[in-house]
Amino acid sequence: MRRYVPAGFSACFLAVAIGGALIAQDSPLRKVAQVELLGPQGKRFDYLTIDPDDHFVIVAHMHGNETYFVDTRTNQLAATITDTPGVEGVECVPDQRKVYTSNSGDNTIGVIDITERKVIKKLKTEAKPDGSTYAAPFHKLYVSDERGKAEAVVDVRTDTIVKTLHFDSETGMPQYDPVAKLVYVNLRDTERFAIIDPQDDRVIAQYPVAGSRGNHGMALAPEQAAPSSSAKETISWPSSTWRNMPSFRLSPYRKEATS
Amino acid sequence: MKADAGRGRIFVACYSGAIAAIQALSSGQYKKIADAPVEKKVHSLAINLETGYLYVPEEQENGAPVSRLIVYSLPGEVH
Repeated sequence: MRRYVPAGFSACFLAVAIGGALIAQDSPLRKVAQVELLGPQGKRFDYLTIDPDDHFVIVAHMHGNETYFVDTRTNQLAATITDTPGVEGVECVPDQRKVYTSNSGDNTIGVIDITERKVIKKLKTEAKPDGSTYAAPFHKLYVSDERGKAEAVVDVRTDTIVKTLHFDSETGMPQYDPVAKLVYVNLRDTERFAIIDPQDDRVIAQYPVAGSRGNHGMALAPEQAAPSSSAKETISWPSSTWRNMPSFRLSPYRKEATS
Repeated sequence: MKADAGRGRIFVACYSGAIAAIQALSSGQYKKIADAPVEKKVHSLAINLETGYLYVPEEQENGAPVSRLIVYSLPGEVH
């Protein structure tokens, strides 16, 4: 098995700020379709996930308290799931034909049956469940309890929480690495990320993420051995290959006044 | 943020109203290829790895409240 987290991993981080954020006048993105969602307007959305088997994109409408299934072949709204209050994270578990929602409104993990498209179970969790990731070979879902400074581990075969890991930081987005067969979790208060071995759910290491203040989002390109972590205005790559990796400055975040 | 490993791209939704696109180069380096303007308050996105399409929920259009999902492509993708 290829494992690419060598000893001394933490020594190889480098943050490089590149220029300022430039917004192009003409967008390089081409608008392909627009899907009207029927939930309340002007309310914040959170995460999305793709169900490739059933051709859905599943959308968490956090402040709309609903979860949408949109057919990616027709770009039509296929279902609206209620009873997902404050839904933040959504993760598809294809082998169980289920979707899991992180419901910050009632501090639960919701279990949605894809066939029936309805909530079939709720698991009580700690404070403010957020992002989640599925480690398919282990049949385990990892859900960050952001305010609980914890990571809940769900056995998706029984839909039970089998372990809760606690940290000295709020937890951000977790990601499962199918190459290394490890789970990475952002620790946003300490500007680090933790590595969990899903074999026994031990935290086997923590490493800093250079230049990522408030690191919350995370994406993986496992073939390139490079997890990326997003903070308010930067993304950076911790490297396991002792190469210096870049950071990119993003479009500046400005907190807007709210009424 | 989401990665499209097949196309060597990473996309980041910026609350200020932009989608940043980072391209992995054959040299092993990375380059930001776009800061594409979109509606403000975008928070997240998804990528259909088959088509390369981006799915971006929007809660406003020019400041007016909406509830919609926009599907984008980045020209130059292999479909």
